[in-house]
This record gives sequence, C-alpha cells and structure tokens, in this order.
Amino acid sequence: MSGIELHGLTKRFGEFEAVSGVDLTIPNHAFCVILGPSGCGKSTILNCIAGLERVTGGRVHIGGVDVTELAPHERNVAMVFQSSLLYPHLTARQNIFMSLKRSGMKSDAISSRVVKAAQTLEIQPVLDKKPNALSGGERQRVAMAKAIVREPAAFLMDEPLAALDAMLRQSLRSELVALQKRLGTTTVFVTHDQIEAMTMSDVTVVMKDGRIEQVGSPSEVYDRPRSRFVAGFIGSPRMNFMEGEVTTHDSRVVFETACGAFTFPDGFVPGIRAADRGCTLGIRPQHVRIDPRPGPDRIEATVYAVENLGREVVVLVRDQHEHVYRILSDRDRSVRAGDAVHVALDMRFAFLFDR
Amino acid sequence: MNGSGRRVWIVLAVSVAILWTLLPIYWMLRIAFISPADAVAFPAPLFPANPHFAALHNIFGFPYTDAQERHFLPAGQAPQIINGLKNSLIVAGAVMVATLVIIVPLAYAYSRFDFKGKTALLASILFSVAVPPVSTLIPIYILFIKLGLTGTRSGLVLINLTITVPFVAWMLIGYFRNLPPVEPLARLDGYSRVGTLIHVVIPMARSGIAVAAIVSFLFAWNEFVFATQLVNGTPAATLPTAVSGFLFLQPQPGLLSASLLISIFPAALVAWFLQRHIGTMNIVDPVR
Repeated sequence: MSGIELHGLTKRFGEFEAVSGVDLTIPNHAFCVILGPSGCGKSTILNCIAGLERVTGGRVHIGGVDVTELAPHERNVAMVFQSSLLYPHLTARQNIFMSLKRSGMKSDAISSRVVKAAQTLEIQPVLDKKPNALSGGERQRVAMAKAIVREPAAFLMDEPLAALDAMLRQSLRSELVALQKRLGTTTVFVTHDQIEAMTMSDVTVVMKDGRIEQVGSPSEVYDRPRSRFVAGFIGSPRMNFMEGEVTTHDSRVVFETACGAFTFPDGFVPGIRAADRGCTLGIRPQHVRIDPRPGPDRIEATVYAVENLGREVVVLVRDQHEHVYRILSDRDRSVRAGDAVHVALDMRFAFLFDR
Repeated sequence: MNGSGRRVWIVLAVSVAILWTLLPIYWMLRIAFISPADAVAFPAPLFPANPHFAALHNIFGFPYTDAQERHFLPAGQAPQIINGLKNSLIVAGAVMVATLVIIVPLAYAYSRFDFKGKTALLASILFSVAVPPVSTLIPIYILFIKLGLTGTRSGLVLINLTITVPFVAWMLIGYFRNLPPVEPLARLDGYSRVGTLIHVVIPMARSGIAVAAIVSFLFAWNEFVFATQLVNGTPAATLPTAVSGFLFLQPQPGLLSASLLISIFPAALVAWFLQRHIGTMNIVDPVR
C-alpha cells in the first residue's frame, strides 16, 4: 500500500501558480521532508494534502484512497502547524480531546485515547495546563499528542520546530524521528532548514518555484545534487560556485575561469549537456584548501573573515574579482584576515552544472 | 531618577488619581447614609457616626423609623425611581446583547476575511465614533417623532446602538486580529466556518467579548442626553433621567444620593465581575 501520492498537483492563487504539476510518491511509513526557500510552494503542497486548500488541478491519494474532493477532517490526516499552534483557551487535555470530539466517538473512549497519547509523549504532568503555561518543547509534544490521538494515515507538519531555540530544536528532531519510526505513520514535514531535512528524512524533496528539483535520500541529495540550486541549498557551509567554461586539453578536461584553469582528474566525464558552453563549477568548502605554495590550479585570494565553528573554522577568502569562497579548514591553521593565500580545489569532488 | 524616587512619584500619582475618582463617590455615599439633619449641618461630619438608612428605604417607597423614633415618609419619586431602574436594566441589557450579536460576527469577519469596500466601511464606522452625539440629537428627535419611537424603550435601544456598535467595533476588530489563526486547526478537527466561530472563536475570545459587553452595558446604563430628549417624563424613562428629577428637590440631598447609589451599584457589579477580563484583553489599534 502506498502512503501519499500526488498526481500533477497544481495550485494557482489568481494569476500566481504556487505549485506547478507536482508528481510525488511518498512510500508508506516514510518520513518525507519537503525542503525549499520560502515561497517555493512547500506549505501549499502540505495544505493541499490536508485539504485546507482546494487543488486547481491534479489528484491527491492518501493510503490508496483518492481524497482530492474530501474535507480536511474526512482525509484521515493529522496536522501539526507552524509553532505548534494550539487552541489558547483550552488545556492541553482539551486540545488533544478536540481532535476526536467531532469524530462520533464516545467521550470516555476519546478520554482513554487522550491518556494513551499523553503517555506516548510523556506529557501527563502538563495535561491540565493551558498552552501559554507550557514551554516550547511541551507545546510541541502536546501538538504531537493532538496529532497521534487521531491515529491517522499520515502526519502533516508545517515547520513545527521553526519557533524553538536551537538546543531544543535539536533534541526534538531526534525525538520526532524516533516517535515516527515507532508509530510507522507516513509523515510529511515541511521546512526551510536543510539540517532538519538532512537529519530527519527518509525521503528529501527539494522544491523551487512550485516545482520539485530533486527527490532522494538525504545522502543522494547531498552527494549527487541534480541542479545548482539543490547543491547550493543543501550542505553547510554553503557550496562554492564558479562560472566558467569546460574545455579539453590533451584528453584532460579543464575548467577555465577568469582567475585560472582547473584540471579534472583522469577519466572525468562532464555529465552535462552543454559542456562547451558556459557552465558552473560547484565545490564544497571541505574540498577547498589553503595551500602555502603558489602554482597552477591555484586561486590567488585574500582572507577577509575567519568564522570559528569550534572543531574547525570557515575561512572566507576573496579573489581579485571580488568573488567569495568558503573554505572549511582545521583550527590549528593560523590564518588571519588580510593574509594573502593560495586556494587549491580538490577537483575529484567538483560538480558541474548547466548555467 | 533612582528607583525609590521614581516609586515616590508613582505612589503620589496613583494616590491623586484614586482621590480624584473616589472622593466624590465617598461624598455621595456619606450623604446617602446620614440622617437628613446631619446632611444639612455645617460643617458636615466627615464620617457619619451612625449609619442612617432612611434615604435608602424612602427611595424605594418604604417608610422608615429611626432609633430616635423619628418617622421618614416614602419619597414621592419612588415609583419613578423603581420604574427607571427597571427601564434602565431592560435598555442596557438589550443594548448589550444586540451590540454583541452585531459586533462579534462583524469583528471576526473584519479580522479574517478580505472583501470589497472593507477599508471604506471600517473608516465610516470609525468616523461615526468621531461625530459628537449631540450634533445628531435634533434630526434624530424629529425622525423619532415621525416613526413614533419617542417615549419607547426600543427607540432608546436603537439610539444607544448607533454609538455602542461603532465604538465596540473599533475595540474588538484589533482584538480579534490578534487571536491566533486556529481556523485550519478547527477545520481539521471537523468544524465548519460557522461552527468554528461558535465553538472555537467565541470561547477563545471571551475576554474581549466580556469587555465589549461591559462597555456597551455601561454606556447604555449611563446614557443621559438622548434619554432626556426621547423618554424623559414618559413611562420609558430610564434611571438617569428619573434621578435627575431630584436636582429640583433641594432639601432632599439624602434621597438624591441614595438614588445615585442605586444607579452606580449595578454598573459597579458588572465591572467587578468582568474586570479580570479587562487585564487579559489587549486593545490594539485596528487600523494597521
């Protein structure tokens, strides 16, 4: 049985097309993260799955059932909203109760389900508090309990961790994944935070301008980004990009830029269509290093900032064309702002993208 | 300014404000509870030694005999006062209910939906708050005579609504706009749009609605200008107009004070029970 399927999903708001013909299959029991910058249509997709937005075109299937025309509460989904939205005037217990109040279940049956959900999330002590008396983490757990009490076919989550502080976000991430694995409920989680996508998902969907750029496991999306956008969006610190041209010299592939030429290792085949036209080279900061010696395949640059990450540092350098490169480097390297350096690229790990 | 200096000024400012508000009320209470002889004595006693309940009995039409075996006859105005009390309760209650029935859906719609002419309509509502009520007094009087609404409680309710509705709208729209956007949550929980308003939004907004209720009740309870024009001297006369009749009975300060006490009491009661909501409610400028 399949989890969630979208067939040619399209949503227009007046003239603006928020989602353009998206096809996506999320396997049953999978944790799927939809990742993209704000305005890319990721929340709209989620609202279309939930039924909060009417689709302009296409179909939505949940658990093998076509739910396109059903009302939100008939779709057997539960949703956790931005900042773990709850009813502010109701206690945690009443908030969870509301999920089933109109389901036709008997009130004592609901109450025992509420208690069970509260046990799963370990929130029994705060059940009779109102949302404004709860901490951010407790509110998040209550929102989750409100979702799981329905025992739905799918959880839909719209940036539920966005408003929390970094520490809490980190611990709730793993907690959420553990809970999802335990319950085995298909989950769609929308975020603009690539770390959440990398750490939580089985399936990562990267979106841009209402379209899917790439679907794959986190490592696939990281190791084999299909477009410059995906490469730039995933990974921290951000990937470096250079504009240039690919040429071939004596059977070796060379990338030529305004500030130097870089030779690919033997056997490299540029897997892009328009290799002879202008294209973009991408290389992650950990595959760039500062070399004490000048030489070919080096960029002359000046250090203008050093960001200490604790275990390592990010060195930001600027070449004579004011282009900035990020270099992930060991801490013991004593580089200071203003130093003139030579930058070498490890071309084994370089990517080429169409411009 | 250091902490303790600041504190002194705050205490001073609050004391002045309290004296300013409560001293006249105390003076009125004092006169209501002293014997008529003390009331006209000079200098009048600051604290009545023995509370004296003659005025309070007489105003409700009961005779009173005090410890010195002095008899006090019921006030001649007692029927008007009792009738005024009844009329005021009916009018203020009706104004409160009608204001809420109109304003809750209006404020909710304004806070959540976009529609044509929204801003223009809001501007006209707010503008009508700015118009001094007295300026419309004569046209409304003529209109009410033609419609046969003078001397009726329903006419008075109508005229009160023209002031409470815009004023409360101005308060509540901002309040509703600041409520968290729980509508999608309610839809997933199976509520329709109207169901969301009735079962989710109204309970969630009860503080704001309670304050709106106080404001509209108290406004109608205290309203004097229109009541004097439209119902004074008729069976529909409200308490403020009935009480104002005492202004012409110079030798009876006790009765005047007692009737004022009656007119303050229900208002104080309403404010007392609903005051906890006033702190909960943030009034925010609805035009942003």
